[in-house]
Amino acid sequence: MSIWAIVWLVILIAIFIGTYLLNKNTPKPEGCEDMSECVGCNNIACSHHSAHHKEEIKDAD
Amino acid sequence: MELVSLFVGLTFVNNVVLSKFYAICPLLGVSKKPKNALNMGYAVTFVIFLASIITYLLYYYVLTPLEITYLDLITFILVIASLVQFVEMFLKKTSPEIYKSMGVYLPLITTNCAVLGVALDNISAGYTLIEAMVAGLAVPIGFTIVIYVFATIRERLDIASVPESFKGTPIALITAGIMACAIAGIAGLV
Repeated sequence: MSIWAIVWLVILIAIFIGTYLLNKNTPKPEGCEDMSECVGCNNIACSHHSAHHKEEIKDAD
Repeated sequence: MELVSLFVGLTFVNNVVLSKFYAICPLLGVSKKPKNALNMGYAVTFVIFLASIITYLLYYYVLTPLEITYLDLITFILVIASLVQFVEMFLKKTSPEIYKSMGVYLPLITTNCAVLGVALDNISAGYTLIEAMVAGLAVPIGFTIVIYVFATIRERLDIASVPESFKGTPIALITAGIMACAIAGIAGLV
């Protein structure tokens, strides 16, 4: 593996972490705060599943 | 004319969902309501088009000169994941209406293998940039058509008299199989 491959991987990972943190810290627009609930499939491992959404509401209460 | 042929071919004849079986997960998961299916289709179209251009440019102008083309898979995965995060952030800031219409389906595209599949196919097929852009538009349009038609069929299946053991996913998979056979029937079109 060349040095360029390592540099390139570091750049890509840094870009991903950067965009993830920027997106996470960007506030959602008005009226979109409660959109994390998805009922598309039954995969409860997915963080967008309604089961997680209910847990968040319970924790907030 | 070649671009038109490529567009029609990728949209209908070589439809990624029904001929290559990419994106089966959203096809089964997000096809319970036609409205959800359409929203997913819009979001996928947006991301695949952008991802096709960016991955093409990165492959030919970064990976090839540095002789690290063996990193194409991991590069494309990270680029697509970053792109989805960036697009989501951009829409939050600038277009709340579009963000609202795409809803939760935008982050789910990170795991849609059709996005990665198109990026890799563009390279392996040796497309030019224009051809990659056409592919980046034709493939998600084909995906949107299939997922919408599938959702309308599933909506009718919900009220149809289906044997108990076939209800739900089994009949959905049988339907997808019949749709794949129908698509295979127009293989000689292009």
